[in-house]
Amino acid sequence: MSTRPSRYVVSLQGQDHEVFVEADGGVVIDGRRRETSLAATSRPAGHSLLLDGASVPLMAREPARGRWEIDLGGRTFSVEVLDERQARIRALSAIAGGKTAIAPLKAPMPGLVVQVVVKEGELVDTGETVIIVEAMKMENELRAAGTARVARILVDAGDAVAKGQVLVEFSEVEAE
Amino acid sequence: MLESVLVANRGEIALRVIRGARELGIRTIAVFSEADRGSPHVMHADEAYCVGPARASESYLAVDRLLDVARRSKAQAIHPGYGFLAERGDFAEAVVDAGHVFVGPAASTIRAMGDKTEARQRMAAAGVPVVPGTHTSLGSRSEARRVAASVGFPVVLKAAAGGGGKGMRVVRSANEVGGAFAAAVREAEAAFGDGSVYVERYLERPRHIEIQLFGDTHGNVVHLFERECSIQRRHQKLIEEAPSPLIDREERHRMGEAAVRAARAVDYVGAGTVEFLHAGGEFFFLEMNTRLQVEHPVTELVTGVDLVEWQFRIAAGEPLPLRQEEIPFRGHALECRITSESPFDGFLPVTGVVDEFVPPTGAGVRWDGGIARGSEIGLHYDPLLGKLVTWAADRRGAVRRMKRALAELRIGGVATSAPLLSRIMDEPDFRDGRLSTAYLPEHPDLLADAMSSREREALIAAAALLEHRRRGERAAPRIGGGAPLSDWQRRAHG
Repeated sequence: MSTRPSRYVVSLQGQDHEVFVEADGGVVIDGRRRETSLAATSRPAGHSLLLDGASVPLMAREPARGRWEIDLGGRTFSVEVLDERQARIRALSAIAGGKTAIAPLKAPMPGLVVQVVVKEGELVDTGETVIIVEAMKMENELRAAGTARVARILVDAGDAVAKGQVLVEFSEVEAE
Repeated sequence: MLESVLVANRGEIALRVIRGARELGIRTIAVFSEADRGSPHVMHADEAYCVGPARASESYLAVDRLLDVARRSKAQAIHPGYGFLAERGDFAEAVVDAGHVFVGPAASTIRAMGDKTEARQRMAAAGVPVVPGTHTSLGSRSEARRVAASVGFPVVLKAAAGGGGKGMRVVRSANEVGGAFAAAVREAEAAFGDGSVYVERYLERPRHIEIQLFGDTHGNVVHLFERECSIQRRHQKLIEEAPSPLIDREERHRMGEAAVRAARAVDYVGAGTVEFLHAGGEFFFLEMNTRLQVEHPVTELVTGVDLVEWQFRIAAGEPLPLRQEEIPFRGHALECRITSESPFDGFLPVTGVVDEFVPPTGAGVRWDGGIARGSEIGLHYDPLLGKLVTWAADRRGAVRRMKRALAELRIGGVATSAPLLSRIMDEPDFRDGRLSTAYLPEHPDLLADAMSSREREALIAAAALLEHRRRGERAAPRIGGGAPLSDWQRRAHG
């Protein structure tokens, strides 16, 4: 039986960390070793983490293989855990991927489209209101995350939208 | 005392009213929508009946269905809670016409105070100070522009039928009036079915201080002192407390007297609240809420009065149990509203299933909630999951206790306002009682989505351990059998 620690790459908020999980409860994060213990305390999500003796209550679920959704201090975080092989494949495909596109605007919650403020082909700047969605009787102004051109509008005023549904697609602004 | 009551509401307030009624030996009848079949208020009532689908307009707002259940269950009284039909004069009237007791003021009182412009006129006439502005609804954009200019900027546009921040817009210059007016009318129409909007002077950095009132059918009116509700977000209260750290005994007396005058002016019967804005050493009538308030528990903790019990006693025709000078006012109480909103994500409403729920307990802590593990949090209703209330001998103690209670509160599966509230408990201005309704915009750091290195490390370690355990389950774990067990063993041997 092997006692070799398992190596993982843990990514949290876009940052990768090298983590070794040792057989005796030690966890080495970016070279620093911590004494840990993790216990399930209540089904389905409740857990208790001891991290160098510090007691950290948390809740955890696995929405997809290798992706953990963890509630800590009342906030929810998404953490991805890859093993060595998966991390290598990911690194190779990122190099081949090339230029990044401007992310489409998605509905952050289910709701009703009150007004589409922009038109296709229009230029929007960071923070400009793109679309107004009503949820729980409150209007929420969804704003542009960067400077971009409106490529395609996929919804109309009055449409009910689901969480995560793409509302507006952008293209990059051509250099002058 | 009343024999039975139908509680025409859901969530934490339905549960609160049911608890109060049961303590008085009143038979309790709950109603629920199809979405709320498994809700705690259904289980805690003596009887419960479905009144329709999830959509509130077809269930909790469906007057005919509610009255039908009241008739079939032989309910003597109907308690509206807050929200939904609580401030609809037509509902109060229909209840009485159908032969039931309405636990609340007369329909005429609700109507007079529900129309915010009429309320302002009545209050001004009764000698209660009001904020400068129009007393009538605005007809058009151009009228809105003209009136706003005459009142002087900044102004606030408000829904005449409104409350809770819906249909409300602050306008700082003349060229913003048109757009804001259209948005306010649209929101007011959607929320209240009435697009009437009026304008008043917008007070900069005011404090929100309200007085709890009670009137009985024998002509007696008392106040139960103030609550300060200055910590708000977009006019939605987040934190409430009593007493206010701002006002002294003398001002407490003056505001209490003004509120009693306001109540007498409309022959007030039942529980009500007069909301004031306090700015520059003056206070102005904001509105009167003709119902039990969300934040009523803070008053209960400092006065020892059970407000729901008093509502039932008054509805049964009994006189007020205490005279003004007999009402105690002791210690300090604080309430935090726990909502299914993500504070670090622009307060976006969150949906999901509560997969972990542990309310805090211990000395001086009260949880008024309407959720349980397994509760489905949807978008049909108000995002309020529950209220965390603490009491201590003084404000510092109540704040310390709240900080502790928030740390104990565990709600999994949906993001809540709790982490923001916890940060506020540590923030120096809040701790020192320097409050205003502009508190949140003035403290943007509280909303920064920052993570401590300690939290970061905990998340990384937890995720790696969880993943390692899941993989280990597949490939024969090194120690022990089941995953939780192996941890206990690991710790025991370590």
